[in-house]
Formats: sequence, C-alpha cells, structure tokens
Amino acid sequence: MKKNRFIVIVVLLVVLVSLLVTNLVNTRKRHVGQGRIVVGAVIDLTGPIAMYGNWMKDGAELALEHWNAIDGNEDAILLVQDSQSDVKKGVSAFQYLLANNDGVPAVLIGPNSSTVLACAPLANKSKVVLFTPTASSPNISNSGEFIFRNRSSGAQEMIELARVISEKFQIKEVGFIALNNDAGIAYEQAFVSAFETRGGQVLQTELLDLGVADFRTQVFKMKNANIDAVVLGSPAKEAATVIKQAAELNYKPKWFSATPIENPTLIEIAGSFADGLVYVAETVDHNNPLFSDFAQKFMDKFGYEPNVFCANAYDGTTILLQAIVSSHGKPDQMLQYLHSLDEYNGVAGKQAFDKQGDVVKKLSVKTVKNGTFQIFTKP
Amino acid sequence: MEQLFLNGILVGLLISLISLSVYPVICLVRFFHFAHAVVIAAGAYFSFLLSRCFGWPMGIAIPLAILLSAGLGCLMEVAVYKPLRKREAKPIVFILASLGLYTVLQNVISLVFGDDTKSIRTGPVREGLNFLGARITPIQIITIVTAIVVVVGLLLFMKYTRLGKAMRTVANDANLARVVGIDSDRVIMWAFAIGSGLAGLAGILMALDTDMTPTMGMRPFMMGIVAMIIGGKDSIIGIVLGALLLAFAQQYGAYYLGSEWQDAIAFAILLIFLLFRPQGFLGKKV
Repeated sequence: MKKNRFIVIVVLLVVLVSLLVTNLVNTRKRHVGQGRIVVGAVIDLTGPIAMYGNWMKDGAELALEHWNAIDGNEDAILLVQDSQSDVKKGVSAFQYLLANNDGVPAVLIGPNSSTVLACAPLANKSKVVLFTPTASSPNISNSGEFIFRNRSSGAQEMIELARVISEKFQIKEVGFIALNNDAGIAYEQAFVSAFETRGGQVLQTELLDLGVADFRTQVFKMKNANIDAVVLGSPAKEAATVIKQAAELNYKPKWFSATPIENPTLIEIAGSFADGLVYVAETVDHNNPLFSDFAQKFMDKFGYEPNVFCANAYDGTTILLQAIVSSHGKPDQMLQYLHSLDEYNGVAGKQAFDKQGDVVKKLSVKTVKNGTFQIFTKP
Repeated sequence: MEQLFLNGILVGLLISLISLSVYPVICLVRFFHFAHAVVIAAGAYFSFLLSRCFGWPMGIAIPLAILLSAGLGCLMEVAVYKPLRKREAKPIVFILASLGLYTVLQNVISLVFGDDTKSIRTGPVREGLNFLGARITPIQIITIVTAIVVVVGLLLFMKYTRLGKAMRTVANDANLARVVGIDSDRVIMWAFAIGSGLAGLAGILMALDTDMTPTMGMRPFMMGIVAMIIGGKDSIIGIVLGALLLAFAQQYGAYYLGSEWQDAIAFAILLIFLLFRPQGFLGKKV
C-alpha cells in the first residue's frame, strides 16, 4: 500500500515538473534580441507535392536574403525541416522546432494542408504562429487563432469556380474528382455547396490517392455516367494524369480546376489534352513594379520564373519577420500585429488578414491554351 | 464493362510481373526484400538517364537499364545481405537492412533527379485503340505481352534449366543444396540479378504508361507481395492467379464501392487468405 502511494506521488511530481517546464518553454521570450531571429519552416521538399514545397522554400530564402541585406535589420535565419509530403513527418518536424532552438516564435508551413491542420492544435497550444503561403484547405480557416495564411482559401476558389461554371458556361451538371485528403474533401464540399446554391448538381464524386498513378477506374466511371464537365480538385500531377488517362479512354469532358493546376507538370503529362481547361486562380500582377523587381531577383538567383506560390512565400516570410520584430517575439503581440496589417503591399499584391487569419484575394479566371496558362476571355 | 475487364487484366498482369520479379529473391532469402521497391523505380530512372540525359535510343537505353537494375540488385546482395548471412543475422535484421536500403536509395533518386514527375514517353498523348469495345494504348499492349512472356519464360526457366532447378533446391533446403554441391551464394546472386532485372523492366513499363516519381515502386511492390501471399509463394501460376484476383477485386470494388476502398479491398483479401488459406491458392500446405 505504502509502495503504491509512493509511486503515485512520484508520477504526480513528474507530471507537475513536466507542466512547469512546458509552461516555461512556452512563455519565455523567443529568439529575439539575441543577435538573430530564428524562423522555423516545415516544408514538403520531397515526396509527391515537393514541387510546390520547393517553390515555397525558394521564395522564403529570397525574402530572408533581402531582409538580412537591409542595414539595421536583426539577422534572421530559416530552420527548414522536410516534411516529405507526409503528415506524421510534418508533425514530428514541427515538434522538433518547438522543442529545440529554444522554441521558434513562428513557423512557415506548407504546402500539405493536412500537415497544417495536424500541427495547428500544437501551434495554438504552444502559442507559435503557424503561417502557410501555400496550403489551401478551407478547414484551415477554423483551425485556431495562431494559424495564418496568405494563400487564398480553397473555399473562395471553389465558390468562384461554381459561379464561373454556372454563369459563364451555363453548365448545370458536373462530376468532381478530388484528392482523398483533407484539402480535397474540403474542396469538394465547398464546391458542392456553392454549386447547388446556384441550382447546379454534382452527379458524381471520385477520389484520388496522392502518389498513385492509375486513375482509369475513376475516369471510366465518369465516362460511363456520361458526365460532360468535370472539376479537378487536386494538385497538377494527379489532375494531369486524370486528363491523360481520360484522353486514352476517348473521354474528353470540359475540365475545370483551381490554382494548383497552374504547374508545368500539367502540360508535360497531359500534353495538348490540357488545352481548354478553365480554372480559377490566385494570380500575380506582372505590371506591379514590386513583383517585377522580385521576379528579376528571383530569376537571377534560382534560374526560373517565380509563380504565385514563390511570391506568397516571399511575402509570408517578410510579414513574419516584421511581426516577430514588432512584437519582440511575444505571441499575443504577434497576433495583434498580424491582424492590424491593413493591406500589406507585397510582391503578390495587397494582403490583409481577416479574423480567421485568412487573406481575401482577387481571383482570375484562366485557361490553358496551346500549352500555356492564359487569362480566360470568353467561353 | 469491357473497359473494366481490360483494366483488370492490365493491372493484374503488371502486378504479376512485379510479384514474379520478387519471387526468386523471396523464395531464396526468405525475408521481405523491401529495397526491391526502389529497384522498380531505379529501372525507370536508369532508362530516363540513358534516353533523356544521354540521348541514347530507347532500343539501347531500355535493355541497358534492365541490366543496370540487375546490377543494383546484385550490389545489394554483395554489399549488405551476403555479409549479414555470413554473420547469421536474425530475419528482423535483414528486414531493417532492406528498409534502410530502400530509404537511402529512394532519397538518392530524389536528390539526383528531383521529386517531380519525369517522363520517358516518346510521343504525344494519344487516344487508345478500340479493342472489343474497350480502349487500350500501345504501351499497355506491350505491357500485357511482356508480362505473359515473362510468366511463360520464368515457368520454363524454373522447370527446365540447371539454374532454375538449383534455385528450387536452395529454396527448399539450403543445407541440403550445399550437401549436393550447389553453391547457394552463387544461386542467390543469380536470383537477385534475375529478380532485379525483372523489377527494372516492370518499372520501365510503368513509367512508359504513367510516368515516374522516386516513390513509384513501393505501392506496386506491396501489391506484388499481397498477390504472392494470395497465390502461394511456391507457385508461379498461383502468383499470377493471385495478382489477377487482386486486380479484378480492386477494379470492380473501386467501380461499385468507390475508389477509396481499393487498398482496403486488397488487404481484406490478404487477411481472409492469411486466416483461412495461409498457403495461398496453389501453395503447398506446410
């Protein structure tokens, strides 16, 4: 009996000490005013969605380089962890950043929405700002007060796409092919809701697994159901494979999609069968001098033309660095700073965060024509 | 429905090819050689390197890529598995070593070629040919014919050649094989060479049809293993039947239940076989 009581007391003491230590870690001033600012980054640099991750990393690195080149700025470093397009590895990487380096005040994260959502409870609990310039799941909007993004929400894109399909194309029945993960399902739900409100109907939904290359059964089901218009709510590689395999099955519906489709992979895989695809996308203004200057520097450093994901990452990193400096790394003051941003003028355009940490951006309707991505003019 | 049937045949024969590529290795070394999954991807990337980077014609690039894949398998045997066998390492050590090999080599492919999709397709995307009401592309016809040739070839090889007979003897009892003068290390090396060559070939066929990524090998490898367990690992015909059952169940399951059930269907079949017929279709009951 005495022995059991002793064990209980020891366990309680261990728990108490752990809680105290955790609290100390969470409340201490993080990495500001010690000669350098440390920003964490959990990015999918390898795996099926690595292309988006590498765009994000390049944008963030250039932002950091520019920040460090400005006289008077405290030196900043980016601690990048590869989440390997795997949610579990992303969470481990995030936990590593929280536990080491005295705890980072903010973490850039993306592009996998599921990883952002899995890390969100930890970020809220640890009072670490989680900022994504690339993840678009509508569910991120409700994932907590410490979660921010400057990538437009997939819900916003799907609502606009529903409007385009029903108003511009007068199409009332579509099929939906989504990625079988949090982002894909949320895209589908947002689209169905918006489309049905406009009197449309989603006749069939098919799901794709990330990293799989054979979607013939899903495509065949769409073909067999005589569906003439299909919305693709997936990254470019999977969408392109669907279009290619549909063409091989002599199935050529009208294809619709959103921002992630604007990726050279689409043309490489689907070839001319991608022509005519219409999509709603977040775009950058090439006439904006801020973007032109950024694009030139980006091209000089990385040797390729930056896209909206690179631009978002550049802006996101700069915003985070400014927030950390203004708030001295104090979590609540960082939130105040981010919410107080009134139309931050970045390379990707003007941005302001709403109560849920989302930005509302102007979307464009675009199309694929002769293997290039162009502004859509008329059906 | 003709299309669904054709898809089942195509996927089933591709799984057969992968399953048969790992068959000689698993029969002889008796552990799940996970690194075989990276050999599938390596075959595709070798052909990409030779045809796209070096500009060699596909007629030369593909056979060379198959040889390089066979060489990669042999290298794994010489550098990792053989020394472990000499030390009489436990089965778990072999499995961990093969997982380690898989991870390292898959990352090497990612580092060298990047994670984006690469293609070795030679022409533009075209509509499939009409065949009995279903559509099929030329590369899918080649895949089906190749898989049938491999099945027949492997059957004849195992039954009628000296090396095939030696493999069966080592697979049955390595000690007995040694007593009758068979050099089991040499036979195992040949098993790695043949199996890895076939894995490379499967990877190339997959890449010609659906392009390539560094992780492309693991899922088909797992399906190949499931097919082997369902079919019975001692029987080539059993493995082919297992692969076809698996493919048809997945295709029809995805059509009638939903594509998200494909993997669940595969592993449900595996569980049923493990519980009620662990030796598989045509495997021998121990």
